[in-house]
Amino acid sequence: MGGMPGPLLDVYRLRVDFPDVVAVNDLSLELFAGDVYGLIGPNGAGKTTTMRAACGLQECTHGSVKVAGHDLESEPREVKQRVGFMPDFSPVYDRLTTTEFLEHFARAYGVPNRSARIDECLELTWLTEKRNALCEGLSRGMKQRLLLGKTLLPNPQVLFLDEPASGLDPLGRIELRKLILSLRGAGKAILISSHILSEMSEFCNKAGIMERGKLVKSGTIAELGQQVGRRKMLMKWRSAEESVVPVLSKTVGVEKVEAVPQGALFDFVGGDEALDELLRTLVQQGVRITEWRGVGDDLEQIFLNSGAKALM
Amino acid sequence: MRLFENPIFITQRRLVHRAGIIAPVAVGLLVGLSILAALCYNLALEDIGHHDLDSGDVFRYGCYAWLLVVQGLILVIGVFSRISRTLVEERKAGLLDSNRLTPLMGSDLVLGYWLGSPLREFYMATSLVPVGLAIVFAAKLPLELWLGTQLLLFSSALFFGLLAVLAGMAMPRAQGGIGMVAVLFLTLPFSIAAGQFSLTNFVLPVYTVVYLFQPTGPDAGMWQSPAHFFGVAIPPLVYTLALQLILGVFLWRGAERKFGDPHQPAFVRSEVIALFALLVLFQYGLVWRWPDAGLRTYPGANLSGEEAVWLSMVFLGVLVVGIIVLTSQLLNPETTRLSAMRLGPNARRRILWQSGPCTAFVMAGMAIAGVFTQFTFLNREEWTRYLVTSVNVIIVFTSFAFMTETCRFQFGRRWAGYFMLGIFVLYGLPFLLSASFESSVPLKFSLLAPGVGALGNPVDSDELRIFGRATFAHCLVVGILAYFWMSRLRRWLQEKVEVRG
Repeated sequence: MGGMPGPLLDVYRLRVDFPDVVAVNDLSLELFAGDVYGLIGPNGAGKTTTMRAACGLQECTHGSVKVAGHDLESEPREVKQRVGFMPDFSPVYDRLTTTEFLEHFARAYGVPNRSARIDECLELTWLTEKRNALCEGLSRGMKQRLLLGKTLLPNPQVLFLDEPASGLDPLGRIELRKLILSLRGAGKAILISSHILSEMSEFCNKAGIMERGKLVKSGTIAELGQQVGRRKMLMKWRSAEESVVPVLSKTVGVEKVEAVPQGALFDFVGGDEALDELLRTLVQQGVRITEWRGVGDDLEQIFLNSGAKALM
Repeated sequence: MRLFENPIFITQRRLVHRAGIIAPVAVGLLVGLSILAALCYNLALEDIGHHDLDSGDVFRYGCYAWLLVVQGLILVIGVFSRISRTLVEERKAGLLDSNRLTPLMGSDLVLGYWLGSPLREFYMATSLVPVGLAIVFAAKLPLELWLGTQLLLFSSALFFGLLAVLAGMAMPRAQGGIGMVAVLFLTLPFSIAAGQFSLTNFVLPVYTVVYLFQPTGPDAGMWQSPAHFFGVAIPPLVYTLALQLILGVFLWRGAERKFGDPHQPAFVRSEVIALFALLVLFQYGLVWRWPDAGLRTYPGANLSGEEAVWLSMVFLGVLVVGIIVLTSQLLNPETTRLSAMRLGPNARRRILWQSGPCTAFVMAGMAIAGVFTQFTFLNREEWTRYLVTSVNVIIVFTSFAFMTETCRFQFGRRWAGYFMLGIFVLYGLPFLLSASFESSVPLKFSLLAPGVGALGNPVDSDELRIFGRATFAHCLVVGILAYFWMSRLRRWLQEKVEVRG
């Protein structure tokens, strides 16, 4: 009896009320092992509140959260064992060293083989050299990395990363990207929010757009592109067919045509049938197409096209 | 989890040690040793026949008392402010959330902060323990004095420490906790005068400390006998420790609950009622034997007698504690809205059941039972007076609950001003009017304030009739308040829950 494994994170009809606003409204999402879900939206859309509510830090009005099948309300300890939350700011004990800080949480989580795991996390977050430094002496980026180390310490199945790249230098961001991809490969489910959408495109396989507490669009990146009715396409053809670009530019639904060697990149607004029709027309016009595919994994574009920009 | 494996405790200990403990301990020791040196100097002068300074027992006991004051300041004020400040700071920094997110139990968190963050103060006070012993030996004071007072100081530090954990979790600012202690100590001048009959004197261990000092003099009688619980003599030390332990259990549960979910109130209603019942029980247990002095009346009935004044204060104290405890259970518009949304169609009935007036009736029942213990012992034939007292207790609690909740739901954030206006109309105005007239008129006006009837002493049938009419008028006031409360709550639930839900 194999069966498909259940979701690692199952949020169902979550609602969080603040005195003057509904911060999260009827939000549902599922994350399976290996999913990296990017939560995007303008400031105040409810991304952080969603994360805080999903890991039990914020009181929910109603709705349910399950982590690896354990209900947050009835089995909070089971959920806490399986969840790691990295907030968008860096709460650290200033007068502890980085090792002591991690030791504090290793004890709290009951991490076995503590010192080896702490070393591992320091290495993962590129802080080995700072192992004896006091937290108060760390830069913001280093504190952020330390917090990431603390989050990874108990080896959680579900990770909530709220703006993990804020404060990181370019090198740190590259390393973070690699780390998230390796965590994804290790079968973790990751819910991540960031304003740097171009970077999120590189490691998220799913995303959701939040507006005023509601998850207005959700799905794989490709599905999202279709939902917002716009996708980026790459078309290549045999040499000496430069006339295709002007033709393409005049076609209904085609926008932002950009010439590339022996081809063009363009945005297409419309459904699958309209796209098939375009391909048929081009072939009928004698264009010898060698490559035709969507390159729609651009979260930034999806976000901008979703209309959420108007709320920012 | 063992204390020395508790990560919160370990971290707090690290932080305290890193900040340095030698200097504060040295300062504490310096003060303690100065007192010891003053004592030795005085004793040496006495030996050679000089009596320039205060001499004899007063000075000897005084030296030890000063040491206790220093230790008391460190252990009560120091420990309280340290814990509440640590918690408020960590809460604001987000560290508390990080700790709450770990699988640590609420009890682990309470224990870690409770015993870990005030370690510096514990070290300072502990370093003064041998100094105290040296003073006791040098001054030839009884060893029980040293043992008893040190035990009381540390038990009080732990008690106030638990209160600080709760304050740190509930107060928006660190100074809020200190304000709480200040208010508590402000009640001292009133309760000290009541000696062995005031519960506050045992919770704050004032009576027990004075008792251990074996006071002499004209007023010493109030401080020399053991505590009495409904006539059973109990050593004051045991009584204080038992009280602090029982109250400590409630504080612990409240703190644990706050760590589990900071948005929830610290105490559930059953706990609040149980706490109030215990306070009433212990308080009336203390005053049970008072009539042995010849007083045969009920709380406040005979305002000419000194004991009756204190009995009135006990009664007032019960009312004040009741109001404070009741405040923690009043409906808050925001939490009511959220619970109404969660509860769905059954919301209204459940909210009415959870409301302040409902709790007020139960608590009034507790207070009436407490007063009843005095009536049974004192004045079996005064049932009309008992009825007036009982009805007034209900009036005080319910009018407060109805008025506060109506103001909260009607005026939102501006509720406090309207509430104060209501309090002035109900309680201030009758006394202002009574002060403007002479002879028997003042009595009539002052009786317009709800609850005052319970403190009065109707000496004849005419006055009893006035009391009866006033009580009836108060019942009408409560009825009007209840009507406003109910209609406002119903309208509010319709507007805020059904529209947005």
